[in-house]
Amino acid sequence: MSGVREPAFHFATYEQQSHAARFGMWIFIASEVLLFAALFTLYGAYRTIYPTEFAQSIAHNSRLLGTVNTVVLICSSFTVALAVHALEHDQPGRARRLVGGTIALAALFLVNKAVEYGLHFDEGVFPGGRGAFFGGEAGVGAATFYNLYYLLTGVHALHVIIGMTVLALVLWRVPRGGSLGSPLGLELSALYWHLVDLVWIFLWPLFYLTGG
Amino acid sequence: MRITTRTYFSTWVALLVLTGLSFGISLLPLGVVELPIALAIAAAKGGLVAAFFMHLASGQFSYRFVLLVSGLFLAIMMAFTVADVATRDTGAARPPAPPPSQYETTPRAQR
Repeated sequence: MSGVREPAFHFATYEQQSHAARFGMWIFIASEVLLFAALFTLYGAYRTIYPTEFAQSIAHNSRLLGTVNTVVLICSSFTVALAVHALEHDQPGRARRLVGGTIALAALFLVNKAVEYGLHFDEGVFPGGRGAFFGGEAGVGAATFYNLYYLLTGVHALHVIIGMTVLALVLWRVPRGGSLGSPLGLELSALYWHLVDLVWIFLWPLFYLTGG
Repeated sequence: MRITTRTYFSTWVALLVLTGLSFGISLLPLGVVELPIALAIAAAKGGLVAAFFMHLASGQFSYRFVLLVSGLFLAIMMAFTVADVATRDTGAARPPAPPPSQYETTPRAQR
């Protein structure tokens, strides 16, 4: 790819077009922030009502699995940032490998999360306060905690799947045949991926660390 | 500000260090300050991701403005909702549960 890219007809310059695209992506990210804001607010409200039950339930979660997933997502954010950088500096091969690595890390995250859900199911911890776990001493506070846990980690996992899919599409479309499209497509997909990482950075202490 | 591979590498290392720090702190019996500390570290990590991985530090102000506004709205919604729940008569200060017998229903025919 050489020379200056032609803008779409309704933009004066390509620079203006990419600014509009980036700004649009940020508006979309803001709306995603507000989606998670509502869920985090629920968490804050219920944790205020059931502080002890929340702490006990957090202590019950696997700190190790949660931490492994935190490291995995931070690494995936790093690799996708490097991929954007590589594509901007005309290294499509390197960008390709880095995006591939990011998708692999995302898959690892999902496998780990599935293992974790499996462990919960074995213990009788199901969404909706169902399961043997809630019949004993763990009452409505623990059920509320695990409802929020499934809701927030579930919505987040959905975002991981969407992010993976978008990155896979970029990998499929952009650097085909060695000729590079604009790095903008990858850049915007990477922004979405960083958002997925950003949300998990807050989920991790709220569901795994702060159990007293 | 010129972003190089080095910038990303430093950001990544800083994120891993903060993750380790947060993990280590979580093993200490800190009581009520545990949550604020963990959230402060998470906010620092989120700031690093937004500033360097998401290019907010080097990008135009308009991008930063969008995230600042949504962050502000998030803070308002969360602070006032939690403050409401925390200061209600029910909820935070839950009354002791009445004895179960109070809820035992008598058969309809005997009423």
